[in-house]
Amino acid sequence: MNKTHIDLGELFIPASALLFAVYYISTVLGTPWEARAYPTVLTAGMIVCAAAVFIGSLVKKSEGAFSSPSLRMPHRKSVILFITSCLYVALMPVLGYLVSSLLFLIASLRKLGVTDKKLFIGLSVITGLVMYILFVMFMDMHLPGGFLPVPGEWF
Amino acid sequence: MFDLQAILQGFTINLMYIWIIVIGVIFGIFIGIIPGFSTSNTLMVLLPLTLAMKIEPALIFMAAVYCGANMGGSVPAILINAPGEGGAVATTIDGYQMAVQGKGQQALVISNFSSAIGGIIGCAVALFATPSLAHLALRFGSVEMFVIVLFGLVLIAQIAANNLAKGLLAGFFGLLMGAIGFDHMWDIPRATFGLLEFYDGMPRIPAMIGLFAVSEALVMLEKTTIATAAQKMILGRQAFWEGIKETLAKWKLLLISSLTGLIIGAIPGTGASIAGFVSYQYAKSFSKNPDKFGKGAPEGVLAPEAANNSVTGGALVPTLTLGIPGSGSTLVMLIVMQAHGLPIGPRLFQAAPVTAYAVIIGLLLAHVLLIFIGLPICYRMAKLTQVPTVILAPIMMALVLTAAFAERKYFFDIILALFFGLLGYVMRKTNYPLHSLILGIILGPMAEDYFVRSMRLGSGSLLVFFSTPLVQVLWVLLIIVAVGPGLYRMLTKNKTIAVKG
Repeated sequence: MNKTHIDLGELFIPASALLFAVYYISTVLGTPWEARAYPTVLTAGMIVCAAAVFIGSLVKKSEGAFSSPSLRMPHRKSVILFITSCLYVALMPVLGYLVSSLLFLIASLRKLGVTDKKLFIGLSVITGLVMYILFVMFMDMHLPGGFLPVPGEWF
Repeated sequence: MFDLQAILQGFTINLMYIWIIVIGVIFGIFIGIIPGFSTSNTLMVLLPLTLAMKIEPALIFMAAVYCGANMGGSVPAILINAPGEGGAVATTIDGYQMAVQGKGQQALVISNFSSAIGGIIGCAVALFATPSLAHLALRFGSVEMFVIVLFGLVLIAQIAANNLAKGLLAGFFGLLMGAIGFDHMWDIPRATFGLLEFYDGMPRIPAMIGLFAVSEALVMLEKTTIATAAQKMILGRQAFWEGIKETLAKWKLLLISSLTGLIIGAIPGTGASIAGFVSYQYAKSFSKNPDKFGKGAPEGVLAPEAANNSVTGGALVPTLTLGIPGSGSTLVMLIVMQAHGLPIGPRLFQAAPVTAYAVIIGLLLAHVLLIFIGLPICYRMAKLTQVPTVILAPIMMALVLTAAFAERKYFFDIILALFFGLLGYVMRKTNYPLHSLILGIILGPMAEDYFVRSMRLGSGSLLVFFSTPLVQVLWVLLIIVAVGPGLYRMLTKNKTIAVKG
């Protein structure tokens, strides 16, 4: 016998959107109608769409009631890159832009399976230099210096 | 009426400064290629240079950068599914699919050639029809503009999502995100999570970088290279001539997309992103093979690219005739014009007709030169799709996270790009269109402004959104776009079942 099956993965975005809408409205409570009208209309639209998505996600399956087939475990390499990126962003204010960029590139290339030492070190140094020239020297961006000041800002 | 003598003088000035156009186009292409570097911000950075120049070469240079960047934005959109500019968002749908199928170079040639022709058509029409177009643009008030924003969202929901409800939900979510920040009218912070960085509103560049580039870097690692190994990479002369032939064969679509871009560009505040999606939907609706769209249809690259470059010509119309900037880049042009003491608004064409026409002709020549300058650049960049993703993804991640910092110079924006990357990844995996969300974020502040103004006009009644004949026509079009494709699919399905029966 077929049971109703709900794809929880599909409901993640509507749930997040509605939570955000509730938070948004809570910040405009007690204000004149002009300030409340726009988020209220958008939230109403979101509720209608979320209901349509929910009904659409009720699919007939032979077994199971709740699962999340659309949100499976991400690919191992994607997880590695995301973790190294988070570490990169966290360490940038401490180590500085240049050092953290070099370390991020070396670590992620190595962890993603680039085994040739010359290749991953060479690529990291070249990319680091290109980024430095482009962002610091050319676009005059004041990136975090960390314990070492970014060379362009010495002068 | 246009002034032929002023047009000829404007043309002569442009020939004198042709080298400036060449530099501007090359510079613009590279600015467009890097996700995060917006044209208007770059023009703003270059203000000290352009203010020091004479007015004509300064405006011609800015027009050339504007033109190059609009085309350059399509290069990352096609090759790595990350639009360099908002106008290239629609190009990602079929452009990236072509790159995956090994037709990246062909897609880039189509993009370059149709951008150039679209821009030439847009500028040529703008040159002679500027006064009439300005008159048309003035008919769009806040009520009509709000419905146009909704129209854009419905279009994208139809195009980018298989499910209209999911597309619209993402669009509404984006509109709400785009409306956060400090409300200066009522003196309240709205949905800022107590963070000062959100007081100026949702920053668009980190959002766009995160949703498209960061999530793409995560997703691309599931494959060995962007272009699948099974597909033979079409490179060199074959790709070049196929791209040119494909573009020229669709001359009617090219013309209609260019005119669409011109008209949408002439309406202040609408911009290239809506023009790209309107043209895309037109191309899909009138195609003999609509099923190929979203799977690498060349028309899916041609139509939005012709339209978003034609927008540049259209955006000059309200800028030069009314003094209302049609886009962020034309706003910087207005600042330069004002700094040089030119009268802004309807008096410009009486006081300095040569300068006004020189800008439009400069933009036209920039599009002509784009064919010769852009094609060799595109030619080489397509090989990027053959680089192993384990090398490409970390390099791309480092570059785009730093680029997220470029607009506001806040470290917070890098963290935000990473957050949007995660959101984009989840949306991709659960089949929610990123395009709807980003368009909502881009149009959010504008939509809110038009909504509140309209509601005040109607003294709080929603009936104001049905009050003028023009807005009623827009609603009819919106309903056709929303319901039409589903109804058509249902009818053809019934017909097929009946025939089979």
